[in-house]
Amino acid sequence: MKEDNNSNRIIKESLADDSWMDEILEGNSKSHYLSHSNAIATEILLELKRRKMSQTELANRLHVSPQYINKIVKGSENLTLDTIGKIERELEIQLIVVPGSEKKDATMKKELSQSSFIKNLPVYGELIPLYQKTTEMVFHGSVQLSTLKKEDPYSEDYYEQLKQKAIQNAHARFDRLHELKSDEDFHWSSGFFQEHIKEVKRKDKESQDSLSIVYG
Amino acid sequence: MVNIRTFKLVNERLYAMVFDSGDPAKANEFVKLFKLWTDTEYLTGFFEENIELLQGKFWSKKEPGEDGNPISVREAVERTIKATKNLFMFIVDVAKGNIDEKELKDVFLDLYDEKDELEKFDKAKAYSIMKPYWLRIYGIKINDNLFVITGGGIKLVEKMSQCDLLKKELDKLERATKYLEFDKDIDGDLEELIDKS
Repeated sequence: MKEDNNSNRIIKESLADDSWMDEILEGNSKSHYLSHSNAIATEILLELKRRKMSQTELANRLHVSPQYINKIVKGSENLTLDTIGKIERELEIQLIVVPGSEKKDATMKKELSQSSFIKNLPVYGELIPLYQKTTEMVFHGSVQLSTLKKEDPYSEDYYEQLKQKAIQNAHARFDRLHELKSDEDFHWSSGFFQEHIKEVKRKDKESQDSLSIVYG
Repeated sequence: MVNIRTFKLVNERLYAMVFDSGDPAKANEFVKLFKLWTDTEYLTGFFEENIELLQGKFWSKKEPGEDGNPISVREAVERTIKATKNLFMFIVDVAKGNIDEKELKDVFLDLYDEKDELEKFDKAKAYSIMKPYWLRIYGIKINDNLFVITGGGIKLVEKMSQCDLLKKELDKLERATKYLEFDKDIDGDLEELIDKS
């Protein structure tokens, strides 16, 4: 029988090493923490991609080996709170949420939404500390909305408002300086404002006027 | 020299191809696939690369995210890892006879609707037994209770030929078929036979 010849050959000549099962069982025996490791790894990978940061760069910043970071992003590392905290701080993301702190976050968010601080937050001109979970960051000279990220649990209602307000303020200030033909430095890095400058330039060209404001 | 061998997973029931050199306990296709499908880095990259298929019409209906919107990369990775662990243990348990009234022929179904009469062995596929249903393990059916795994893939497309990774799996199936069907008296030189494929 042809089929028997083939099956006998497979049965007799196959390589054998029962340790293969360890690879599968290991994955299952560690599943109580691996599901968390996997979820954390995915968050880190997505954030690295968003920041265009390599694993090596993250390793350098954390003073660990690139191999260790690679092990983490593969989802196989049993992470300590120390490591998680360092990664959270470096990437400015939240990787774990403890139920009690979720409640605390919700309370803080409610308080923040009711406070006049966020509502009246000036977004241009001076050193303005903005609420941030890890480090205090500031608006200085130009508006840096990166201090308040869309992903921050507190920011969802305010991010867009602040952005629009910042753009409006910046446009108004630029127009004012332009009108005065001031040579005051004006710094802006957002694409929103670049469009506005282009528009002003176009109008200047049409009216044979010159743009005297220095912008960067 | 032909670098293809078979590796025993469960005696007289389940085997896997080894196409690479190195430790066969780790380099066999079954274990390699398990490692790959539980590797967050690989899966995140894969789903990001195939985000349009993942969030396209077909999978949006069949495998939506928890909020009802198209599934996110995060959810796709998480569900794939869970389904992988489930599927692999299930296959091993069936092969070992640990599950009543289930045999390998119930797990591995014919890859093609129509059989190729010229081929001695049928090509087969095993689906994930829980959502998401995009996992495929490919193999060759020697008889109802003897299968050789040749590889696998995450199938987000309709046909295997629409995805480069799955086309490679078709090649592996062909190479493995030639190896398994090899008969020294008829085919002569194995190396020449495999090289032709």
